[in-house]
Amino acid sequence: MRVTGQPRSAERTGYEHLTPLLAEFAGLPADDPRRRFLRDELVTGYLPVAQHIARRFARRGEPQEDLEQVATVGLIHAVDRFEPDRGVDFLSYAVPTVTGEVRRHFRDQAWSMRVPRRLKDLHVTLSVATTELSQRVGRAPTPTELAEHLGLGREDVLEALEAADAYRTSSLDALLVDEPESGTLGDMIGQADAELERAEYRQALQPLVHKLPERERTILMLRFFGNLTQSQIAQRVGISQMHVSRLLAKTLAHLRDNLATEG
Amino acid sequence: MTQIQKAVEAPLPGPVEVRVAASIAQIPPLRAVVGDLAARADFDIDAIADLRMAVDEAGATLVALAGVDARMCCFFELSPDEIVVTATVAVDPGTSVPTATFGWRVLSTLMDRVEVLGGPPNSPGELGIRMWRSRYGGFGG
Repeated sequence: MRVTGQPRSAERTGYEHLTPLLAEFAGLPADDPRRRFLRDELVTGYLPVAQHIARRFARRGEPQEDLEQVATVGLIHAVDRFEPDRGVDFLSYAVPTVTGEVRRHFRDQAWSMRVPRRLKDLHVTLSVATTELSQRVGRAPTPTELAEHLGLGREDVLEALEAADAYRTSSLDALLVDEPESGTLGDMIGQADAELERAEYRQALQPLVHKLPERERTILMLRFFGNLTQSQIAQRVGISQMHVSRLLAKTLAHLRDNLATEG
Repeated sequence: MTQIQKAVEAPLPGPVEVRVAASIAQIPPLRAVVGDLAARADFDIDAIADLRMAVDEAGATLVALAGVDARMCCFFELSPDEIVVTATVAVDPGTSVPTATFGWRVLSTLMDRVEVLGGPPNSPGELGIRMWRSRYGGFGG
């Protein structure tokens, strides 16, 4: 069995330690009890590959968990079907297999979504266009500006904006993120925090705010204690304006529910 | 080929008045109305989102104060550069709109100006909130 001298073996992929397991797995008869253990090890070991591929499809409006799950299924297929003695290394085989699985998922799922496909596409397009235009003109675009930029009718844009509000938080937004806070962002949050320290907020509001998830908290603080617009927050936090808008509305509703006893 | 219409030239919708039961469940339609009016008036999407949230907040504030079986009335007025929202609700005597709250801060940040409408002489059992938002406002006081 040939496990050395593979095309990419000279490169350090970080998965070298799995290569002997692949060979052993492929060599075992289908009913060997050890197969199950090896399969788990291999799938777990190569999981970052599947996750990486799932992330590449993240901007298309499917939940990230779903994509990762589908990519993992693709990875399992790849592990099961891989034949090490063909001289192709595993990654060269697995990447197209996993990618194919994710693509098939999109083809199959595209029609079962809650928001009509046309509006869904438009939602993603709008989200991207909003970011582009905001950067160009230094404020959030208007529906007319969006329509002109995209060569669409204004009614289409209005309809899509309406749909955007009904649309679940899309993976498009959820993924564009998690850059460590920049220095300036940290400063702004610091100032906002000082503002929150004020007596009238300390008792009821502050504990609730501190319990919010990090991103929700940051966005809330920047909007209501840092006086940034949603578009400015979107740029600083690295998510879309539409996502900021949804998170803010959700956070306010949550705070309202929990502040209900406040004088 | 495709002729992009200059929508700003479309006539502004006239004033819109909506009456609903003073209940949290009735706030989403009010929010949708203000969002739609602002979008048709071609406010930028920050302003549209701010107005929607403000209606949420003001509506929730008033619903909490409303008397039994009260109705909430929401009046939306559009001028080329400003939207004015007036929401009123019937309350029991002695009730007031709390303004030392986070909710009030939210409203003041989202809108350019917010005012409590204490029961006018001819309707003492009524409270309301009126708020103004200009096309390019919302940067907080």
